[in-house]
Amino acid sequence: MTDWEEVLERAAAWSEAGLGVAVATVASTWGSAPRPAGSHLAVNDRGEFVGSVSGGCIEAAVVGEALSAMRDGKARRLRYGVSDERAWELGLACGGTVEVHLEPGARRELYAELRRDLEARRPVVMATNLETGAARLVHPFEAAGTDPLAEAARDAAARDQTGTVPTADGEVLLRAYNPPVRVFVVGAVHVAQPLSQMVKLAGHDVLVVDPRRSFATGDRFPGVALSQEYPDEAFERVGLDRRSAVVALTHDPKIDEPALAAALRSEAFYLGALGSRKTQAARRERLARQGFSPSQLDRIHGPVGLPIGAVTPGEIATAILAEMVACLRPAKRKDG
Amino acid sequence: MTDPDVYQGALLDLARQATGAGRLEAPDGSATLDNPLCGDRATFEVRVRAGRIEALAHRVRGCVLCQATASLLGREALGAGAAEVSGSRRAAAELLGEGRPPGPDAFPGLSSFAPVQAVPSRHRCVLLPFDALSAALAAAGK
Repeated sequence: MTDWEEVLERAAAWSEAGLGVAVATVASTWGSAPRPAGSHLAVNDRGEFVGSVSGGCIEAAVVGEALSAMRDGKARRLRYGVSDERAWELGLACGGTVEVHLEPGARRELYAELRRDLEARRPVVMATNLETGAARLVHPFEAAGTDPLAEAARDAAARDQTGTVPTADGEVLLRAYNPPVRVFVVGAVHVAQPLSQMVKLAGHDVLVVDPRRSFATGDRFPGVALSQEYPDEAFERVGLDRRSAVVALTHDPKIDEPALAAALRSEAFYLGALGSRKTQAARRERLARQGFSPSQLDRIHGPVGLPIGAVTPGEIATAILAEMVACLRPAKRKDG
Repeated sequence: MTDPDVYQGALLDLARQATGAGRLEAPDGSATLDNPLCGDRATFEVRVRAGRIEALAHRVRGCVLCQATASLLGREALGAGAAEVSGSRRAAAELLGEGRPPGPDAFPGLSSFAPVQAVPSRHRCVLLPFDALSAALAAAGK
């Protein structure tokens, strides 16, 4: 469960139990800030809270404001930073500035709908007008062109970043909620062992797929989801989407190539394939004969992983995971 | 991959023809076998009348050798009974193991698998569809 899920579920549970609730969301940050825009903190009328909007520096102040908001029923825009004398008093010593949107209530219905969307792996953006407090959900990749927020919501979801946009009706906070990244590791081989654990540590879902039953065993992959299907069968069952990554590691064309072909037909954000340059060239030719164009085939990262001179399985897994993250977050890359 | 001779024309053609690939409406028996080390997987479905194969269909995920064998069975095993299937399986194993040419009772075309004799690690790929067909027949007899 991601941190925001825990926060919003707790807020809904408090609200259902009859407690007063307020939810704070980091709307924007300047300079260094301990928690990124989009971070949530939920507070109940007993002063209990879950989540965070900073590294502990301003939580007490936000909790105090939250109790006031529950009493007067009004949303608030709060700003904490060095320009504010209270920044030192509040201990935001990192030198950053944080703007927080705080509103009373748990938005139970909206968040229930949002959870249903995410269960269906549908990216969704919560749009909150910071001046009127009006909130609605935007489905960024389905929203009609007439929706004035469609493009900004698409950008927020694609970058997986929260931000504010000016509109005719006032400033709007766009908080993107994306389904979890799902990494499909094709080939229950040696490199897949550290890679599957590292993907989980990075906070993503992982499925190791290998029709060779003697490779895809629970003994070799403790605590990891395994499938003994052919990868294209597994993908058809589970579904590849824009939050999916596929890494082909078997070296066996009868397993790797159906996986890559299926991934090329999907919106998967990362495709990687193990193998030397010579192997890559031969595979590229075979896939081209299946009708894939050069620009489609350029989506395949191979030899797989960033060129860091990786030697051991753990190092190779590091190179692969780093390359995958770079593709997931192009907007965050310094050189991108 | 291992030996280019293994992928000579006759076997590639056989694999490409994929005779018998598909499904049966109401099979009397079916079986799926796989090789847990290489991932080859063969499913056979049969309809049986008076102990003989009246119809068969197969679905193979695997290498060219596995596909070629399934295609050969799709072409030759119609009308055969369990004894003929296991007889031809024995002939295939002897061809691969000792290079002994298949006898007149074996399914025609088996000799095109002779080059695989040189690659022991791939013998199982050839024999797996035979075993899946035999298992489907056994299931039909129950």
